[in-house]
Amino acid sequence: MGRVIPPHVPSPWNNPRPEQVELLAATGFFRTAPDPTASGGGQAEAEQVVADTLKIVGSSLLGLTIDAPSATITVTTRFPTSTTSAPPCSSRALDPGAQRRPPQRLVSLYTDADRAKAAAIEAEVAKMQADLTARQTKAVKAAFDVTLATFPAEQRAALRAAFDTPDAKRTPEQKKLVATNPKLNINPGVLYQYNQAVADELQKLQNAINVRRAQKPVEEFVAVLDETPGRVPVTRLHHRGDYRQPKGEVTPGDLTVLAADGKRSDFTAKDPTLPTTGRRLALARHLTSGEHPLTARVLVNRLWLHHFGRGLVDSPGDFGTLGQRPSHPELLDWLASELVRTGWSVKQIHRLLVTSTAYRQSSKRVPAHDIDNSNTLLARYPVRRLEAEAVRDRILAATGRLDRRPGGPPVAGSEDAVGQVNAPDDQPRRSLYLQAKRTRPIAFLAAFDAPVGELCCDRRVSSTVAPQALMLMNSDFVLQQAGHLARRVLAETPADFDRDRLRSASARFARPSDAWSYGFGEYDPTARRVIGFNALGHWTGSSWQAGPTLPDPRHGWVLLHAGGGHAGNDQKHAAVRRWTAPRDGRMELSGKLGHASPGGDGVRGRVVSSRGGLLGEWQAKNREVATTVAAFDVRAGDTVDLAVDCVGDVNADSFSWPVTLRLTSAGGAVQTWTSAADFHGPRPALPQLVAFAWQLVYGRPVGDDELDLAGRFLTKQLATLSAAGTPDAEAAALTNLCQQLLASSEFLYVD
Amino acid sequence: MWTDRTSGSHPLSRRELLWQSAFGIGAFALTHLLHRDGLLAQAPPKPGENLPLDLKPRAPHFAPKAKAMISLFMHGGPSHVDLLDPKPELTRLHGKDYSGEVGFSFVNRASKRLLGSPWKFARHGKCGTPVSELLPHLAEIVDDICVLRSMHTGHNGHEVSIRYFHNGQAAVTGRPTMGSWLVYALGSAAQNLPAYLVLSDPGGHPVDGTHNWSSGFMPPLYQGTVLRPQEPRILNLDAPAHLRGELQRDNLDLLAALNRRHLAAHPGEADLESRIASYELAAQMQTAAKEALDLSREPEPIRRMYGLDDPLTQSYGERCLIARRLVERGVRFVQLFLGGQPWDTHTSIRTTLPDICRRTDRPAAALVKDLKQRGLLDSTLVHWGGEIGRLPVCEGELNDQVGRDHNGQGFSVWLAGGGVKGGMVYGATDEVGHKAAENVVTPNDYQATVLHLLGLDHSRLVYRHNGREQRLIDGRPARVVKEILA
Repeated sequence: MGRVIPPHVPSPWNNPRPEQVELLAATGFFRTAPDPTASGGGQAEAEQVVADTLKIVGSSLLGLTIDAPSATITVTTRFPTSTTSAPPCSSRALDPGAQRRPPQRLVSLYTDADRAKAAAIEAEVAKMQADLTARQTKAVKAAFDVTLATFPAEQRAALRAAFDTPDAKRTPEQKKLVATNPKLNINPGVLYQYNQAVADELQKLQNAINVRRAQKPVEEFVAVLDETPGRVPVTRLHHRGDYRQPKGEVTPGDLTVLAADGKRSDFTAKDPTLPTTGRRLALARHLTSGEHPLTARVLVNRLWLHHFGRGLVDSPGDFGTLGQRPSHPELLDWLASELVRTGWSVKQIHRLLVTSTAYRQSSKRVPAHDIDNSNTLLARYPVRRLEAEAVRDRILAATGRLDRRPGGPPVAGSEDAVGQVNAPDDQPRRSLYLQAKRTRPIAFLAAFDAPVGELCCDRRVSSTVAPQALMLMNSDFVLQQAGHLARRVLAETPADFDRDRLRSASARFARPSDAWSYGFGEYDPTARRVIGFNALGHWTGSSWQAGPTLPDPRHGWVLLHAGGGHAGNDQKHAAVRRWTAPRDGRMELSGKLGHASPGGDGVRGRVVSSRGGLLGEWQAKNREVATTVAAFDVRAGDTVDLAVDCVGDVNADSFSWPVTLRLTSAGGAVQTWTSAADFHGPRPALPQLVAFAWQLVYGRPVGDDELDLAGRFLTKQLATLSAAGTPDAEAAALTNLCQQLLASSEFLYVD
Repeated sequence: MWTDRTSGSHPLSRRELLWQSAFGIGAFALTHLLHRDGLLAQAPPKPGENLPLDLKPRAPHFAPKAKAMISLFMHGGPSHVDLLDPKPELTRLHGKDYSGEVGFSFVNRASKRLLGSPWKFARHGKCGTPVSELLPHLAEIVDDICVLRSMHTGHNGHEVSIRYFHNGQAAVTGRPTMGSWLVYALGSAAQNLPAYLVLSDPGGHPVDGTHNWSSGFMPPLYQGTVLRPQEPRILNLDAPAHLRGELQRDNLDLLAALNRRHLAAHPGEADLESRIASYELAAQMQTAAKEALDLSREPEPIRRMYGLDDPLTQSYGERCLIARRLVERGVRFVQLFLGGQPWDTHTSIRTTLPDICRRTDRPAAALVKDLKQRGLLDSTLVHWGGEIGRLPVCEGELNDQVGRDHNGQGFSVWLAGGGVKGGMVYGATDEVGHKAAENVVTPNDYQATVLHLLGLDHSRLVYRHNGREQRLIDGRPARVVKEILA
């Protein structure tokens, strides 16, 4: 449960075999109660751990509410035959008299081989480190000597003496010398400023040490509950539940109320064949003997509960007379006997349940169902909201980012700027693998009723509250995932997705034409216009180029990406980023043309308007130049080209040219375009994108009327977003659409 | 429509009731009706059944004096003998050894040397209730408060006593707090704000963290909603800047259209209706909560009264002012916490106690004055107090660093408004202030009294859990302290 593990714990479990590790890990079930003795506390706290653990065992395995204030057992679950009971199996692996705190209950999984390997690596690393230190010292000394030589000869002796003397022994004059000559104060950390080659060499050695050390086997621990061999503690009834008033001795056994004939199942106090008392083993055998009246019923009821939203017994932690009567008692008994008959195969029961007619029913409600409002009799499958973890996992799965790998270390949550605990977005693991800390619940999961881990949650509630709505509307998590989903839709929608059916739909989607196109062409100095514009036909995933290979056999090196591109091989192949005016207005354009390489002859950028001709021309070689153009008028349909050519030769002609365009209409409305943010690859038609989003989120084709709905939504949002100058308005509108799908009932509920 | 079904003869199951949970009501018509009528009178639940698991306003057991409660919880144990319970005998015996028995928490620093209060007490108001010079603002409202001087938990530990006060049983966790019981019993008149609000401190959570407002075995809908000490006080309340306004309206319209289509395919599914309503209410909350928490709307004299002009009192003052704005808008239960436990004055009490008094005295008194001048004090119960008090003897040497250790045997709290007599002192500790001696009041008595003031009989307020009827006080001895009722 996210406990911080101390560096090393001695263990009686040396070289555990994998199956032993599994058994040890299974005892962690008894370690799920909050254990305040980790941070101090005395016998009262230790007794509370016992009571809480009994509660967990009672409600999870026995379907009983056991209140055990310090070993006086009150079974609040009443049975027809009896209202009080002796305590169950008093295994004292939890032994308040000799309490072991949680850190002392960790077993290291380090084997002798691991230990030997770690020691060998450490020894090797120590040698490497000694070698490195010696070389560092030598290099520092060499650098010092070289630097000292730059000082006047008469000062050198005094300086050397001052720097060679340990700080504590320096005279005031020496201290002053050290303070006023910082360039002689050389240490390994600044060596690179004096001799880069040597520093690089040393860094390589350091890296080698780090690599070697990282090869040490990772020491892992498993939290266990084990007994101290040989210790057979005495359990006493505590008068009025007060551990300070121990009374009569209690012998180990099951609860008296559970014995069919009123005779309690007793266990031996000490199993002579085992080093420990063996009481838990005896209880486990008793519980799984197939004779126990509760274990199998409680377990199948729980499995049923998870598949159907409610158990056959609606009080899964309470099978007594105060709990609910089973809705289908014969079914419960049959399932319980099936579980035992199939050798306690939980998988078989799952299979049985999910292939049953009851499970495969429609959730559609008809008026006749009103006679059983609560659907206790299962005339239909219930409509159920997904549990918190499933909501999160399903969102991640829709974005295509869910990391389904099993096992491994948990992912810790972290607090955002306002203190909300979130799972890190770059580790989209299943919610099962999020570290569960009682004190730091993951905000998204808590909002959807994930229990906080206070003892047992025998059944979750499923609430429908405004904070959930706010979480889905406004939380960073959901907004981020909507963005991921929209990007996935843009990247993965097949161009011909459901084309035949969707063809007619395109008319209903007003898609503003993209202002940008990407190609190559030639600047004609006579006409002062760009001529021969050809679109670049191949999208690599991050750039547009002429064909799949680079250089292209016909068109050479010309390409464009978000931040800039590469000029083509000749004047006919200037890289041209073309903007087409959607309406009339006055345009302001600014940007920076950059060329980073010292090689070649640089690049030449031109801004050319189809109306006004050449508006600006700059050359850049191994530098950046501002490319500001005086404001100019455009009419709808005009083009403005940002053309970059190679000047004379095509060596090293990569360039960057981020440009911002600001168009002010006659009415005063301003719209902005940003070349980098607006840049994107080819996009399928809007209906295709919508249909693919539907498929990803709901796993079904979009309906015709839903397509209409989405079409109206996107048309309106695109207008709003474009008017607000949102970069890549289409991606933004699609993100909003995706978010609503993720927040919708169809997504959140199973039916 | 589930409303149709509730009006029919079919009893609702627990599951269906869960569907109609927090804010998740299916029909706005009902809300309007409730606003018109003030309260929803409804049939009491059948024996053994829980109240509907929602937050709709419900009638109490009998006519209440208070409709809402504000609790100023003072974690750590305010030193009653230095604040509200003057002990001339203690002053006289200052420096001498105490002859009685004392239970210490910090035995390593334990001492039996009596420590007379370093501060002077004076009588105030018409009633003449004595108040320490450390609380000059409280002195101005003594005619409106009732000081209970005989509180007794019997436990010196913080958490043990905190839990006793909050959930009815010493030391135990996993039970609902009194705030949870109140909103379970009464719902809330404010359907566009959380019913149970916790105002947290910039210094972090109080000792015992989220247990202080846990709903325990009740559904999370009854747990306290924590308002952060600064904006954003409610998380996820605002749409991000790029989605505000028209875009969010478009988004919610699309979402509602999708959800209505889905509901149409599943007629009669109450939870799907509630889901649609929860989005509408969340959108309303964006305005309502913003408005409720916007202190810039308060006039300057009010802001000054709460100490918003003084960096020392600003934070607590803001929270006291927010508390008033919340109960004005129908919120049922508001509790203010301080970070950690600033009243836990083990050392240097001569400086630490004045510090925390200065941070809280003016805002707390302003809250009572302000409620009174608005006519809200009669229907709002205000509580001020911690979980324990402090010992009359020294902790550590009797020098500048002297402090006082924990004392759950006797200490003081005060109540105001909501049907409590003003200008009154109830109960007494022994002559040095160690143990409650007259008219002892336990946290269970306090809870019974609070429930009574809000129109509830603690023995009749039941929540069925784990096959048994649970109550806040759970069958322990408790009495309504009738003597302090107006």
